[in-house]
Amino acid sequence: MLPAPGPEAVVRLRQVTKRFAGGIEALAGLDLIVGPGELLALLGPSGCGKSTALRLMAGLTAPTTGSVERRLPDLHAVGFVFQEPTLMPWATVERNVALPLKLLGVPRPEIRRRVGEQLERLGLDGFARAYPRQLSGGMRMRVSIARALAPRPRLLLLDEPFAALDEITRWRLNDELLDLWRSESLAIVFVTHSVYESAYLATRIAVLSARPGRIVGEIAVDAPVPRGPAYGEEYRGSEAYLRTCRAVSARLAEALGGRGGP
Amino acid sequence: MRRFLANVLPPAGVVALALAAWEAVVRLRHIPEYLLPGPLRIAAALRDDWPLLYPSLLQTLAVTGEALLAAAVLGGGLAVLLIQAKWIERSLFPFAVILQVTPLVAIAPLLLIWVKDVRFALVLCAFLVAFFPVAANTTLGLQSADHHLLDLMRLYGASRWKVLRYIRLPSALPYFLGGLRISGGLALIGAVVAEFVAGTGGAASGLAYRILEAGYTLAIPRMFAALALLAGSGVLLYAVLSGVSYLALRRWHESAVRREGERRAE
Repeated sequence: MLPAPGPEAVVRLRQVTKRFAGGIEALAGLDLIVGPGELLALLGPSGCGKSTALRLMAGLTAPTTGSVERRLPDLHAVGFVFQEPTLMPWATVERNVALPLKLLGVPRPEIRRRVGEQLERLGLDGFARAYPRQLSGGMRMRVSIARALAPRPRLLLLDEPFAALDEITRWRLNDELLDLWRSESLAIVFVTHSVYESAYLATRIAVLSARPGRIVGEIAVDAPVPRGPAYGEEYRGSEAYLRTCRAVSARLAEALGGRGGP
Repeated sequence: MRRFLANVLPPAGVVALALAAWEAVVRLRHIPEYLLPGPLRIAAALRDDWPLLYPSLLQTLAVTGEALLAAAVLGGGLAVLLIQAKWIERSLFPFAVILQVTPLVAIAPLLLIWVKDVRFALVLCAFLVAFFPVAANTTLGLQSADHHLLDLMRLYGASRWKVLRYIRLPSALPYFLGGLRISGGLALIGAVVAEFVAGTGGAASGLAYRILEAGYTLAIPRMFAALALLAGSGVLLYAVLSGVSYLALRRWHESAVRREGERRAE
Protein backbone atom coordinates (compact mmCIF):
# COMPACT_ATOMS: atom_id res chain seq x y z
CA MET A 1 0.00 0.00 0.00
CA LEU A 2 1.04 3.54 -0.65
CA PRO A 3 1.48 5.98 2.15
CA ALA A 4 -1.85 7.80 2.40
CA PRO A 5 -1.82 11.21 0.79
CA GLY A 6 -1.60 14.01 3.31
CA PRO A 7 -4.35 16.29 4.56
CA GLU A 8 -4.34 18.13 1.26
CA ALA A 9 -6.31 15.23 -0.33
CA VAL A 10 -8.80 16.44 -2.92
CA VAL A 11 -11.41 13.81 -2.13
CA ARG A 12 -11.60 11.33 0.69
CA LEU A 13 -14.16 8.53 0.93
CA ARG A 14 -14.40 6.97 4.39
CA GLN A 15 -16.16 3.67 4.93
CA VAL A 16 -18.66 4.50 2.26
CA THR A 17 -21.56 2.17 1.59
CA LYS A 18 -24.18 2.78 -1.03
CA ARG A 19 -27.43 0.88 -1.19
CA PHE A 20 -29.97 1.64 -3.89
CA ALA A 21 -33.72 1.49 -3.61
CA GLY A 22 -34.54 -2.14 -4.31
CA GLY A 23 -31.79 -3.32 -1.99
CA ILE A 24 -28.85 -3.55 -4.38
CA GLU A 25 -25.69 -2.82 -2.46
CA ALA A 26 -23.20 -1.16 -4.80
CA LEU A 27 -20.44 -0.32 -2.36
CA ALA A 28 -19.57 -1.76 1.04
CA GLY A 29 -16.99 0.01 3.15
CA LEU A 30 -15.06 1.85 0.46
CA ASP A 31 -12.03 3.83 1.63
CA LEU A 32 -10.35 5.95 -0.98
CA ILE A 33 -8.22 9.04 -1.07
CA VAL A 34 -7.44 11.10 -4.12
CA GLY A 35 -4.40 13.32 -3.76
CA PRO A 36 -3.78 16.50 -5.72
CA GLY A 37 -2.19 15.90 -9.10
CA GLU A 38 -2.81 12.18 -8.91
CA LEU A 39 -4.00 10.06 -11.82
CA LEU A 40 -5.93 7.32 -10.10
CA ALA A 41 -7.46 4.44 -11.99
CA LEU A 42 -10.44 2.62 -10.51
CA LEU A 43 -10.43 -0.87 -11.91
CA GLY A 44 -12.84 -3.67 -11.30
CA PRO A 45 -15.28 -6.15 -12.82
CA SER A 46 -18.48 -4.90 -14.42
CA GLY A 47 -21.12 -3.75 -11.97
CA CYS A 48 -18.74 -3.48 -9.03
CA GLY A 49 -19.78 0.06 -8.17
CA LYS A 50 -16.95 1.95 -9.90
CA SER A 51 -19.33 4.40 -11.48
CA THR A 52 -21.17 4.82 -8.20
CA ALA A 53 -17.87 5.70 -6.51
CA LEU A 54 -17.27 8.32 -9.18
CA ARG A 55 -20.74 9.78 -8.78
CA LEU A 56 -20.18 9.99 -5.03
CA MET A 57 -16.97 11.93 -5.61
CA ALA A 58 -18.81 14.29 -7.97
CA GLY A 59 -21.53 14.85 -5.39
CA LEU A 60 -24.16 13.52 -7.78
CA THR A 61 -25.34 11.00 -5.21
CA ALA A 62 -25.04 10.74 -1.44
CA PRO A 63 -23.58 7.79 0.47
CA THR A 64 -25.95 5.58 2.48
CA THR A 65 -23.42 5.47 5.31
CA GLY A 66 -19.89 6.78 5.64
CA SER A 67 -18.66 10.13 4.45
CA VAL A 68 -17.42 11.83 1.33
CA GLU A 69 -15.16 14.79 2.01
CA ARG A 70 -14.35 17.04 -0.85
CA ARG A 71 -11.74 19.73 -0.46
CA LEU A 72 -12.53 21.72 -3.51
CA PRO A 73 -12.93 25.47 -3.77
CA ASP A 74 -16.24 25.60 -5.65
CA LEU A 75 -18.47 24.15 -8.32
CA HIS A 76 -15.91 24.93 -11.01
CA ALA A 77 -13.58 22.45 -9.47
CA VAL A 78 -15.06 19.16 -10.71
CA GLY A 79 -15.26 17.99 -14.30
CA PHE A 80 -17.14 14.85 -15.27
CA VAL A 81 -16.82 12.85 -18.47
CA PHE A 82 -19.40 10.13 -19.02
CA GLN A 83 -19.04 6.87 -20.87
CA GLU A 84 -21.07 8.35 -23.71
CA PRO A 85 -20.06 11.78 -24.97
CA THR A 86 -23.44 13.08 -23.66
CA LEU A 87 -23.55 16.17 -25.84
CA MET A 88 -26.55 18.31 -26.60
CA PRO A 89 -27.41 17.20 -30.15
CA TRP A 90 -29.18 20.49 -30.87
CA ALA A 91 -26.16 22.63 -30.08
CA THR A 92 -22.94 23.23 -31.97
CA VAL A 93 -19.60 22.07 -30.62
CA GLU A 94 -18.76 25.51 -29.27
CA ARG A 95 -22.09 25.85 -27.52
CA ASN A 96 -21.67 22.41 -25.99
CA VAL A 97 -18.27 23.34 -24.62
CA ALA A 98 -19.62 26.68 -23.39
CA LEU A 99 -22.46 25.08 -21.39
CA PRO A 100 -20.72 24.73 -18.00
CA LEU A 101 -19.26 28.22 -18.28
CA LYS A 102 -22.70 29.66 -18.97
CA LEU A 103 -24.15 27.79 -16.01
CA LEU A 104 -21.39 29.05 -13.76
CA GLY A 105 -22.01 32.63 -14.80
CA VAL A 106 -18.71 33.25 -16.56
CA PRO A 107 -18.85 36.54 -18.53
CA ARG A 108 -19.43 36.22 -22.24
CA PRO A 109 -16.07 37.39 -23.65
CA GLU A 110 -14.31 35.10 -21.20
CA ILE A 111 -16.50 32.19 -22.34
CA ARG A 112 -15.55 32.81 -25.93
CA ARG A 113 -11.89 32.94 -25.07
CA ARG A 114 -11.90 29.77 -22.99
CA VAL A 115 -13.99 27.79 -25.47
CA GLY A 116 -11.57 28.74 -28.24
CA GLU A 117 -8.67 27.69 -26.05
CA GLN A 118 -10.19 24.27 -25.28
CA LEU A 119 -11.15 23.60 -28.88
CA GLU A 120 -7.64 24.35 -30.01
CA ARG A 121 -6.14 22.16 -27.32
CA LEU A 122 -8.23 19.15 -28.22
CA GLY A 123 -7.71 19.56 -31.94
CA LEU A 124 -11.27 20.71 -32.53
CA ASP A 125 -10.60 24.09 -34.08
CA GLY A 126 -12.46 24.18 -37.36
CA PHE A 127 -15.30 22.17 -35.83
CA ALA A 128 -16.69 24.93 -33.62
CA ARG A 129 -19.84 25.28 -35.71
CA ALA A 130 -20.33 21.56 -36.35
CA TYR A 131 -23.14 19.60 -34.74
CA PRO A 132 -22.33 16.49 -32.71
CA ARG A 133 -23.92 14.16 -35.25
CA GLN A 134 -21.43 15.35 -37.85
CA LEU A 135 -18.49 14.14 -35.74
CA SER A 136 -16.92 10.72 -35.27
CA GLY A 137 -17.09 8.97 -31.90
CA GLY A 138 -13.55 10.03 -31.01
CA MET A 139 -14.19 13.67 -31.90
CA ARG A 140 -17.38 13.67 -29.84
CA MET A 141 -15.44 12.37 -26.87
CA ARG A 142 -12.92 15.18 -27.37
CA VAL A 143 -15.78 17.67 -27.23
CA SER A 144 -16.96 16.04 -24.02
CA ILE A 145 -13.48 16.36 -22.50
CA ALA A 146 -13.16 19.96 -23.70
CA ARG A 147 -16.47 20.72 -22.00
CA ALA A 148 -15.28 19.16 -18.73
CA LEU A 149 -12.01 21.11 -18.84
CA ALA A 150 -13.49 24.49 -19.81
CA PRO A 151 -14.25 25.57 -16.20
CA ARG A 152 -10.62 24.65 -15.28
CA PRO A 153 -11.42 21.93 -12.76
CA ARG A 154 -9.02 20.67 -10.13
CA LEU A 155 -10.56 17.22 -10.22
CA LEU A 156 -11.51 15.45 -13.42
CA LEU A 157 -13.67 12.33 -13.17
CA LEU A 158 -13.92 10.02 -16.17
CA ASP A 159 -16.32 7.10 -16.29
CA GLU A 160 -14.97 4.60 -18.84
CA PRO A 161 -14.73 7.41 -21.35
CA PHE A 162 -13.04 5.51 -24.13
CA ALA A 163 -14.76 2.14 -23.76
CA ALA A 164 -16.88 2.61 -26.86
CA LEU A 165 -14.03 3.74 -29.11
CA ASP A 166 -11.83 1.78 -31.48
CA GLU A 167 -8.35 0.90 -30.25
CA ILE A 168 -6.45 3.42 -32.39
CA THR A 169 -8.61 6.33 -31.28
CA ARG A 170 -8.49 5.07 -27.75
CA TRP A 171 -4.70 5.03 -27.62
CA ARG A 172 -4.50 8.48 -29.12
CA LEU A 173 -6.97 9.85 -26.58
CA ASN A 174 -5.05 8.12 -23.79
CA ASP A 175 -1.96 10.05 -24.80
CA GLU A 176 -3.90 13.28 -25.09
CA LEU A 177 -5.31 12.75 -21.63
CA LEU A 178 -1.80 12.28 -20.25
CA ASP A 179 -0.73 15.50 -21.93
CA LEU A 180 -3.64 17.38 -20.43
CA TRP A 181 -3.00 15.94 -17.02
CA ARG A 182 0.65 16.99 -17.10
CA SER A 183 0.00 20.51 -18.30
CA GLU A 184 -2.94 21.18 -15.98
CA SER A 185 -1.70 19.68 -12.71
CA LEU A 186 -5.17 18.38 -11.98
CA ALA A 187 -6.20 15.24 -10.17
CA ILE A 188 -7.83 12.65 -12.39
CA VAL A 189 -9.92 9.65 -11.39
CA PHE A 190 -10.45 7.28 -14.22
CA VAL A 191 -12.83 4.32 -14.20
CA THR A 192 -11.90 1.50 -16.53
CA HIS A 193 -12.15 -2.24 -16.82
CA SER A 194 -9.03 -2.49 -18.90
CA VAL A 195 -5.91 -3.64 -17.06
CA TYR A 196 -3.73 -2.30 -19.87
CA GLU A 197 -5.34 1.09 -19.95
CA SER A 198 -5.01 1.50 -16.19
CA ALA A 199 -1.36 0.46 -16.26
CA TYR A 200 -0.64 2.86 -19.10
CA LEU A 201 -2.33 5.91 -17.64
CA ALA A 202 -2.38 5.79 -13.89
CA THR A 203 0.05 6.80 -11.18
CA ARG A 204 -1.94 4.59 -8.82
CA ILE A 205 -4.45 1.83 -9.47
CA ALA A 206 -7.19 0.89 -7.05
CA VAL A 207 -8.71 -2.53 -7.70
CA LEU A 208 -12.31 -3.05 -6.61
CA SER A 209 -13.95 -6.34 -5.68
CA ALA A 210 -17.10 -7.62 -7.31
CA ARG A 211 -20.30 -6.06 -5.98
CA PRO A 212 -20.63 -4.79 -3.33
CA GLY A 213 -17.39 -3.02 -4.19
CA ARG A 214 -14.56 -2.26 -1.86
CA ILE A 215 -10.84 -1.77 -2.45
CA VAL A 216 -9.01 -5.08 -2.55
CA GLY A 217 -5.66 -3.72 -3.63
CA GLU A 218 -3.76 -0.62 -4.56
CA ILE A 219 -0.85 -0.67 -6.92
CA ALA A 220 1.51 2.25 -7.30
CA VAL A 221 2.83 2.54 -10.83
CA ASP A 222 6.53 3.20 -10.88
CA ALA A 223 6.89 4.49 -14.37
CA PRO A 224 8.50 7.55 -15.85
CA VAL A 225 6.03 10.33 -15.47
CA PRO A 226 6.25 11.92 -18.88
CA ARG A 227 4.38 9.14 -20.61
CA GLY A 228 2.83 11.26 -23.33
CA PRO A 229 2.72 10.60 -27.07
CA ALA A 230 6.50 10.65 -27.54
CA TYR A 231 7.07 8.00 -24.88
CA GLY A 232 4.01 5.86 -25.37
CA GLU A 233 5.34 3.06 -27.48
CA GLU A 234 8.53 2.85 -25.53
CA TYR A 235 6.63 2.63 -22.28
CA ARG A 236 4.21 0.02 -23.60
CA GLY A 237 7.19 -2.19 -24.40
CA SER A 238 8.96 -1.65 -21.11
CA GLU A 239 9.47 -4.10 -18.29
CA ALA A 240 7.88 -1.64 -15.82
CA TYR A 241 4.65 -1.59 -17.81
CA LEU A 242 4.45 -5.36 -18.04
CA ARG A 243 5.20 -5.71 -14.34
CA THR A 244 2.34 -3.33 -13.53
CA CYS A 245 -0.02 -5.23 -15.83
CA ARG A 246 0.88 -8.51 -14.15
CA ALA A 247 0.41 -7.10 -10.65
CA VAL A 248 -2.93 -5.56 -11.56
CA SER A 249 -4.12 -8.76 -13.25
CA ALA A 250 -3.22 -10.76 -10.19
CA ARG A 251 -5.19 -8.44 -7.91
CA LEU A 252 -8.12 -8.46 -10.26
CA ALA A 253 -8.07 -12.26 -10.31
CA GLU A 254 -8.20 -12.25 -6.53
CA ALA A 255 -11.03 -9.76 -6.64
CA LEU A 256 -12.97 -12.13 -8.86
CA GLY A 257 -12.43 -14.94 -6.41
CA GLY A 258 -9.66 -16.73 -8.26
CA ARG A 259 -11.73 -17.27 -11.35
CA GLY A 260 -8.87 -16.27 -13.63
CA GLY A 261 -7.51 -12.99 -14.89
CA PRO A 262 -9.04 -10.40 -17.17
CA MET B 1 -35.32 19.81 -60.22
CA ARG B 2 -35.02 16.17 -61.05
CA ARG B 3 -35.65 15.13 -57.47
CA PHE B 4 -38.56 17.54 -57.30
CA LEU B 5 -40.15 15.91 -60.34
CA ALA B 6 -39.50 12.46 -58.89
CA ASN B 7 -41.18 13.52 -55.67
CA VAL B 8 -44.14 15.34 -57.17
CA LEU B 9 -44.99 13.46 -60.35
CA PRO B 10 -46.05 10.08 -58.91
CA PRO B 11 -48.53 11.38 -56.30
CA ALA B 12 -49.88 13.98 -58.73
CA GLY B 13 -50.30 11.26 -61.34
CA VAL B 14 -52.20 9.02 -58.94
CA VAL B 15 -54.53 11.84 -57.96
CA ALA B 16 -55.16 12.74 -61.61
CA LEU B 17 -55.88 9.10 -62.43
CA ALA B 18 -58.31 8.73 -59.54
CA LEU B 19 -60.17 11.89 -60.55
CA ALA B 20 -60.37 10.73 -64.17
CA ALA B 21 -61.75 7.37 -63.06
CA TRP B 22 -64.33 9.11 -60.88
CA GLU B 23 -65.43 11.37 -63.74
CA ALA B 24 -65.62 8.39 -66.10
CA VAL B 25 -67.77 6.33 -63.72
CA VAL B 26 -70.15 9.23 -63.12
CA ARG B 27 -70.56 9.86 -66.84
CA LEU B 28 -70.71 6.29 -68.10
CA ARG B 29 -73.20 5.15 -65.50
CA HIS B 30 -75.24 8.36 -65.72
CA ILE B 31 -75.16 8.94 -62.00
CA PRO B 32 -77.36 11.94 -61.21
CA GLU B 33 -75.49 14.86 -59.68
CA TYR B 34 -77.65 14.93 -56.56
CA LEU B 35 -76.22 11.48 -55.72
CA LEU B 36 -72.62 11.91 -56.80
CA PRO B 37 -71.34 14.81 -58.89
CA GLY B 38 -68.20 14.31 -60.94
CA PRO B 39 -65.00 16.25 -60.25
CA LEU B 40 -65.60 18.65 -63.16
CA ARG B 41 -69.05 19.53 -61.85
CA ILE B 42 -67.58 20.06 -58.39
CA ALA B 43 -64.88 22.31 -59.82
CA ALA B 44 -67.59 24.33 -61.56
CA ALA B 45 -69.51 24.64 -58.28
CA LEU B 46 -66.33 25.73 -56.57
CA ARG B 47 -65.90 28.48 -59.15
CA ASP B 48 -69.54 29.60 -59.17
CA ASP B 49 -70.06 29.51 -55.43
CA TRP B 50 -66.63 30.95 -54.55
CA PRO B 51 -68.10 34.21 -53.18
CA LEU B 52 -70.14 32.11 -50.76
CA LEU B 53 -67.50 29.52 -49.93
CA TYR B 54 -64.43 31.71 -49.55
CA PRO B 55 -65.56 33.66 -46.46
CA SER B 56 -66.65 30.39 -44.87
CA LEU B 57 -63.27 28.84 -45.61
CA LEU B 58 -61.53 31.80 -44.00
CA GLN B 59 -63.69 31.47 -40.94
CA THR B 60 -63.08 27.76 -40.50
CA LEU B 61 -59.36 28.29 -40.99
CA ALA B 62 -59.34 31.13 -38.47
CA VAL B 63 -61.12 28.99 -35.86
CA THR B 64 -58.73 26.11 -36.56
CA GLY B 65 -55.69 28.36 -36.39
CA GLU B 66 -56.71 29.98 -33.13
CA ALA B 67 -57.53 26.62 -31.57
CA LEU B 68 -54.18 25.21 -32.70
CA LEU B 69 -52.29 28.19 -31.35
CA ALA B 70 -54.09 27.85 -28.02
CA ALA B 71 -53.34 24.12 -28.02
CA ALA B 72 -49.65 24.78 -28.65
CA VAL B 73 -49.33 27.40 -25.93
CA LEU B 74 -51.58 25.84 -23.29
CA GLY B 75 -50.67 22.22 -24.11
CA GLY B 76 -46.96 23.04 -23.95
CA GLY B 77 -47.50 25.09 -20.80
CA LEU B 78 -49.44 22.29 -19.14
CA ALA B 79 -46.63 19.86 -19.97
CA VAL B 80 -44.07 22.14 -18.31
CA LEU B 81 -46.33 22.35 -15.26
CA LEU B 82 -46.88 18.58 -15.15
CA ILE B 83 -43.19 17.71 -14.98
CA GLN B 84 -42.52 19.98 -12.03
CA ALA B 85 -43.62 17.31 -9.60
CA LYS B 86 -44.97 13.79 -9.74
CA TRP B 87 -47.99 14.74 -7.63
CA ILE B 88 -48.92 17.55 -10.02
CA GLU B 89 -48.79 15.13 -12.92
CA ARG B 90 -50.84 12.56 -11.04
CA SER B 91 -53.49 15.06 -10.08
CA LEU B 92 -53.83 16.94 -13.36
CA PHE B 93 -53.18 14.37 -16.07
CA PRO B 94 -56.43 12.44 -15.50
CA PHE B 95 -58.37 15.61 -16.30
CA ALA B 96 -56.52 15.96 -19.56
CA VAL B 97 -57.36 12.35 -20.39
CA ILE B 98 -61.02 12.80 -19.48
CA LEU B 99 -61.24 15.83 -21.75
CA GLN B 100 -59.56 13.86 -24.51
CA VAL B 101 -61.83 10.80 -24.36
CA THR B 102 -65.12 12.67 -23.99
CA PRO B 103 -66.61 12.84 -27.50
CA LEU B 104 -66.75 16.40 -28.73
CA VAL B 105 -70.15 15.91 -30.40
CA ALA B 106 -71.57 15.11 -26.98
CA ILE B 107 -70.30 18.22 -25.23
CA ALA B 108 -70.31 20.72 -28.09
CA PRO B 109 -74.07 21.49 -27.72
CA LEU B 110 -73.56 22.21 -24.03
CA LEU B 111 -70.57 24.43 -24.69
CA LEU B 112 -72.56 26.33 -27.30
CA ILE B 113 -75.30 26.92 -24.77
CA TRP B 114 -72.95 27.87 -21.94
CA VAL B 115 -70.75 30.17 -23.96
CA LYS B 116 -72.66 33.11 -25.39
CA ASP B 117 -70.14 34.08 -28.04
CA VAL B 118 -70.56 31.41 -30.76
CA ARG B 119 -67.20 32.11 -32.29
CA PHE B 120 -65.43 31.66 -28.95
CA ALA B 121 -67.37 28.45 -28.33
CA LEU B 122 -66.18 27.10 -31.69
CA VAL B 123 -62.56 27.83 -30.86
CA LEU B 124 -63.03 26.25 -27.45
CA CYS B 125 -64.42 23.03 -28.99
CA ALA B 126 -61.58 22.77 -31.51
CA PHE B 127 -59.06 23.51 -28.77
CA LEU B 128 -60.43 20.74 -26.55
CA VAL B 129 -59.66 18.05 -29.12
CA ALA B 130 -56.40 19.60 -30.28
CA PHE B 131 -54.62 20.23 -27.04
CA PHE B 132 -54.13 16.67 -25.79
CA PRO B 133 -51.58 15.44 -28.34
CA VAL B 134 -49.43 18.50 -27.74
CA ALA B 135 -49.68 18.19 -23.96
CA ALA B 136 -49.06 14.43 -23.85
CA ASN B 137 -46.22 14.48 -26.37
CA THR B 138 -44.48 17.46 -24.82
CA THR B 139 -44.72 15.89 -21.37
CA LEU B 140 -43.04 12.78 -22.73
CA GLY B 141 -40.37 14.88 -24.44
CA LEU B 142 -39.60 16.90 -21.32
CA GLN B 143 -39.20 13.67 -19.38
CA SER B 144 -37.00 12.07 -22.05
CA ALA B 145 -34.06 14.42 -21.54
CA ASP B 146 -30.72 12.59 -21.41
CA HIS B 147 -30.12 11.68 -17.76
CA HIS B 148 -26.42 12.26 -18.03
CA LEU B 149 -27.04 15.78 -19.29
CA LEU B 150 -29.29 16.30 -16.28
CA ASP B 151 -26.45 15.01 -14.07
CA LEU B 152 -24.15 17.52 -15.69
CA MET B 153 -26.59 20.32 -14.91
CA ARG B 154 -26.62 19.22 -11.28
CA LEU B 155 -22.85 19.09 -11.18
CA TYR B 156 -22.73 22.77 -12.06
CA GLY B 157 -25.57 23.68 -9.73
CA ALA B 158 -28.01 24.70 -12.48
CA SER B 159 -31.39 26.03 -11.38
CA ARG B 160 -34.63 24.34 -12.39
CA TRP B 161 -35.25 27.12 -14.89
CA LYS B 162 -31.83 26.64 -16.50
CA VAL B 163 -32.35 22.89 -16.72
CA LEU B 164 -35.64 23.59 -18.46
CA ARG B 165 -34.16 26.13 -20.80
CA TYR B 166 -30.92 24.42 -21.72
CA ILE B 167 -31.86 20.74 -21.64
CA ARG B 168 -35.54 19.88 -21.23
CA LEU B 169 -37.12 22.28 -23.72
CA PRO B 170 -34.76 21.47 -26.60
CA SER B 171 -35.14 17.74 -25.84
CA ALA B 172 -38.92 18.12 -25.99
CA LEU B 173 -38.99 20.12 -29.22
CA PRO B 174 -39.25 17.14 -31.62
CA TYR B 175 -42.01 15.63 -29.48
CA PHE B 176 -43.85 18.94 -29.29
CA LEU B 177 -43.71 19.36 -33.06
CA GLY B 178 -44.87 15.80 -33.59
CA GLY B 179 -47.83 16.46 -31.29
CA LEU B 180 -48.59 19.68 -33.13
CA ARG B 181 -48.82 17.84 -36.44
CA ILE B 182 -51.46 15.53 -35.00
CA SER B 183 -53.23 18.44 -33.34
CA GLY B 184 -53.44 20.36 -36.61
CA GLY B 185 -55.76 17.78 -38.16
CA LEU B 186 -57.71 17.39 -34.93
CA ALA B 187 -58.24 21.14 -34.61
CA LEU B 188 -59.73 21.21 -38.10
CA ILE B 189 -62.01 18.28 -37.31
CA GLY B 190 -62.94 19.89 -34.00
CA ALA B 191 -63.80 23.16 -35.72
CA VAL B 192 -65.96 21.36 -38.31
CA VAL B 193 -67.79 19.29 -35.70
CA ALA B 194 -68.49 22.38 -33.62
CA GLU B 195 -69.70 24.26 -36.69
CA PHE B 196 -72.05 21.41 -37.49
CA VAL B 197 -73.53 21.53 -34.03
CA ALA B 198 -73.77 25.31 -34.13
CA GLY B 199 -75.20 25.14 -37.64
CA THR B 200 -77.95 22.75 -36.62
CA GLY B 201 -78.78 25.24 -33.92
CA GLY B 202 -79.16 27.91 -36.57
CA ALA B 203 -75.92 29.85 -36.14
CA ALA B 204 -74.33 30.50 -39.53
CA SER B 205 -70.61 29.80 -39.60
CA GLY B 206 -67.76 28.28 -41.60
CA LEU B 207 -67.55 25.53 -44.18
CA ALA B 208 -69.45 22.94 -42.14
CA TYR B 209 -72.44 25.24 -42.14
CA ARG B 210 -72.17 25.51 -45.94
CA ILE B 211 -72.19 21.72 -46.13
CA LEU B 212 -75.31 21.54 -43.97
CA GLU B 213 -77.01 24.27 -45.91
CA ALA B 214 -76.12 22.73 -49.27
CA GLY B 215 -77.52 19.41 -48.00
CA TYR B 216 -80.83 21.01 -47.05
CA THR B 217 -81.17 22.70 -50.43
CA LEU B 218 -79.90 19.69 -52.38
CA ALA B 219 -77.04 21.73 -53.82
CA ILE B 220 -74.90 18.61 -53.76
CA PRO B 221 -72.06 19.87 -56.00
CA ARG B 222 -71.59 22.82 -53.65
CA MET B 223 -71.55 20.45 -50.72
CA PHE B 224 -68.75 18.49 -52.37
CA ALA B 225 -66.94 21.71 -53.20
CA ALA B 226 -67.00 22.66 -49.51
CA LEU B 227 -65.79 19.17 -48.62
CA ALA B 228 -62.93 19.48 -51.11
CA LEU B 229 -61.93 22.78 -49.54
CA LEU B 230 -61.91 21.13 -46.10
CA ALA B 231 -59.79 18.22 -47.30
CA GLY B 232 -57.44 20.63 -49.05
CA SER B 233 -57.12 22.72 -45.90
CA GLY B 234 -56.27 19.61 -43.90
CA VAL B 235 -53.54 18.60 -46.33
CA LEU B 236 -52.16 22.12 -46.43
CA LEU B 237 -52.16 22.38 -42.64
CA TYR B 238 -50.28 19.12 -42.34
CA ALA B 239 -47.77 20.20 -44.97
CA VAL B 240 -47.17 23.55 -43.24
CA LEU B 241 -46.68 21.91 -39.84
CA SER B 242 -44.33 19.32 -41.35
CA GLY B 243 -42.39 22.16 -42.95
CA VAL B 244 -42.10 23.98 -39.64
CA SER B 245 -40.94 20.78 -37.98
CA TYR B 246 -38.34 20.21 -40.68
CA LEU B 247 -37.00 23.75 -40.46
CA ALA B 248 -36.72 23.58 -36.69
CA LEU B 249 -35.02 20.18 -36.57
CA ARG B 250 -33.05 19.87 -39.78
CA ARG B 251 -29.71 20.63 -38.19
CA TRP B 252 -29.72 17.98 -35.55
CA HIS B 253 -32.70 15.68 -35.23
CA GLU B 254 -32.74 12.25 -36.87
CA SER B 255 -36.26 12.79 -38.20
CA ALA B 256 -35.16 15.72 -40.34
CA VAL B 257 -31.55 14.90 -41.14
CA ARG B 258 -30.85 13.32 -44.47
CA ARG B 259 -27.55 11.51 -44.48
CA GLU B 260 -25.09 12.00 -47.28
CA GLY B 261 -25.45 9.52 -50.08
CA GLU B 262 -28.54 8.01 -48.59
CA ARG B 263 -31.79 7.69 -50.44
CA ARG B 264 -34.61 7.25 -48.06
CA ALA B 265 -37.20 4.65 -48.85
CA GLU B 266 -40.12 6.87 -49.62
